[in-house]
Amino acid sequence: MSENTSRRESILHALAGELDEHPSYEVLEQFVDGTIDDVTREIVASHREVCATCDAEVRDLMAFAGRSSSTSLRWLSVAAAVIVLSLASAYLMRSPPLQRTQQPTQKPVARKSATQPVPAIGYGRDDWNAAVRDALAHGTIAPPAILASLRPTPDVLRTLSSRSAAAVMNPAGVVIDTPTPLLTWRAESGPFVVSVYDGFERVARSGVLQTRGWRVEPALPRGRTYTWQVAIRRGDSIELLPSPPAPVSLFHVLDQDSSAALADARRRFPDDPLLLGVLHARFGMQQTAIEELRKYAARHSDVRNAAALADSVSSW
Amino acid sequence: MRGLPILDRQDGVENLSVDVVVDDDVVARAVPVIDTVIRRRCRSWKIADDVRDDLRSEALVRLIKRLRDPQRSPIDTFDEYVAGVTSRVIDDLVRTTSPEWARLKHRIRYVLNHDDRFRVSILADGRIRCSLQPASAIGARRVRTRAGDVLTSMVLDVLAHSEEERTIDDLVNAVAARMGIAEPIRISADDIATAYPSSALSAVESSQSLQRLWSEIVALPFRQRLALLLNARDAAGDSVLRLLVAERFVTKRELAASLELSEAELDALWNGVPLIDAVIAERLQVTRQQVINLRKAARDRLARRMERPR
Repeated sequence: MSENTSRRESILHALAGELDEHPSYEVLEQFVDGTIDDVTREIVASHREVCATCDAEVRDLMAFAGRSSSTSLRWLSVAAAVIVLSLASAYLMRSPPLQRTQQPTQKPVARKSATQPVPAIGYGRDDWNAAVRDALAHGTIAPPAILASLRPTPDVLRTLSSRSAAAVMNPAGVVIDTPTPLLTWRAESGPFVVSVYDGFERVARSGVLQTRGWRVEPALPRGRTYTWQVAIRRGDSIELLPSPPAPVSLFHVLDQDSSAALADARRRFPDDPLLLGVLHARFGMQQTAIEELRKYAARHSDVRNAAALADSVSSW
Repeated sequence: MRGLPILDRQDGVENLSVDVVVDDDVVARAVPVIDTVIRRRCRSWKIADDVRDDLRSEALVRLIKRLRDPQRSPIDTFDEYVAGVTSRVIDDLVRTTSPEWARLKHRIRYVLNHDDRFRVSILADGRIRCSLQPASAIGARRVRTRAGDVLTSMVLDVLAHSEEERTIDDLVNAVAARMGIAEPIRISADDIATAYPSSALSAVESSQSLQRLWSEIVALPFRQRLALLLNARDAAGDSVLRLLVAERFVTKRELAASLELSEAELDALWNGVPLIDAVIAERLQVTRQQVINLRKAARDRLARRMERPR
């Protein structure tokens, strides 16, 4: 084997890769529901481009779940209005487009740009219009007060032990929309028993579990903040997660009105990441807000404050 | 015996060391788990013995690949992991042989997870069991589409006539029968080759292919490209970026552009590559595990791209 061939093979082995497993059903479901983190979303989207089977399965599931947005006739009916409104918003923003250096590479968002809606300031609801207009005008979104109550003080968070404890329980320190969240934790082998509390009252309790995840049942009342813990049997003793000095794990279930508003926004403006990002931020759903606002920034690099909004929410 | 002990019992937890050398003991311990999962999941399907052997082999290949990957986190529970891998191997085969059945299964799982009249439990061996439960008056969760209504009615009916929990595969079989969707009853050896294609590396052997590979790399989403290139190293541990430039497959300017860096910025990085994942993670503002996932996705996508004739 020549030296050239050998080097070429080294490069190929390092870069050309091996086939990996397809995304699991759980990941596809999160992708369809829009509850996935942005990195995994990118991975699934990228995989769909090269795997016809997964692409077909995702499209089928999206259609089944009523989440298909590619060919929505509803969207066509509002498109004209959005275009008119976009002219108004462009006037409001009056910012010269940024001169971007030409890149030799392609990003998925660039290929989608022809079908992306432009920012609209006429959503048919004054509170939405004002929220979006304020966000664009200031380039920041203030964290809602609820988040402070869900998160331990910064001094506690800075300790190594508490940080690692928070990392093993999900959800923790967040606002969620579903009243039947899937609680997951990382721990040694079980058995586990999960309890959810509203104040001092236990409102839900799992059976004895061998798995590290449990979907809360029955549905939790909305608009309340809950703590949850996992009891782990170790021989004759019981260990608890989180364990001191880790802070308690708290989450807040979005109230009915806010949840309905989000659902309404998703239904009427499924492809408007600016509105979805701003609303999620207003309701304290930080991660989704960041993902939507980053999506918006990627599509609208010429809009002043587009990138700043995601950064603002990230800094909470 | 070729390898080192793979199981390190600490406080009752089985942690598989990431730098472990896979030995015969791993295979000996995994095979019974794999066979049990295959037997349980495929009991109503007519699968030839050689296909069962192929399923077992594929599961072992994936397991060993996972154990040999130094960048993956330890496995908590060996048997559960093996069961999960085997289940995914079977799923991949069914997706190929019976795509309609596989899509129906996805739809049913979606209904089960989004409708509070159903209770779902996942057993340690990966099997999913489902049953009915009293619906909650608060926040009733439903799949609110016409297709969702129809399917939910069928699932409710099937489970209402079941005296005990059903596995998800049983449930899908029952609903598939009502809908006239064929079960994956007969699976042949030919299906195996389609379901588990081998890596495309052997197809890439000329310098032209390398140029084509590079064109696919620059078409990757940015974060995947960065996670792949900044960490890429040859067998000796040297950065592949330096090899690419030394071999004149790309110029440093092209390389910088592909990383969305200026040449000066690339120069500043040059002596530090390959970068460790923690550094790449900081650069991308993601976690280290996400960097690993992005790179795996990039390598998988390149393998699939290079497989396609042009």
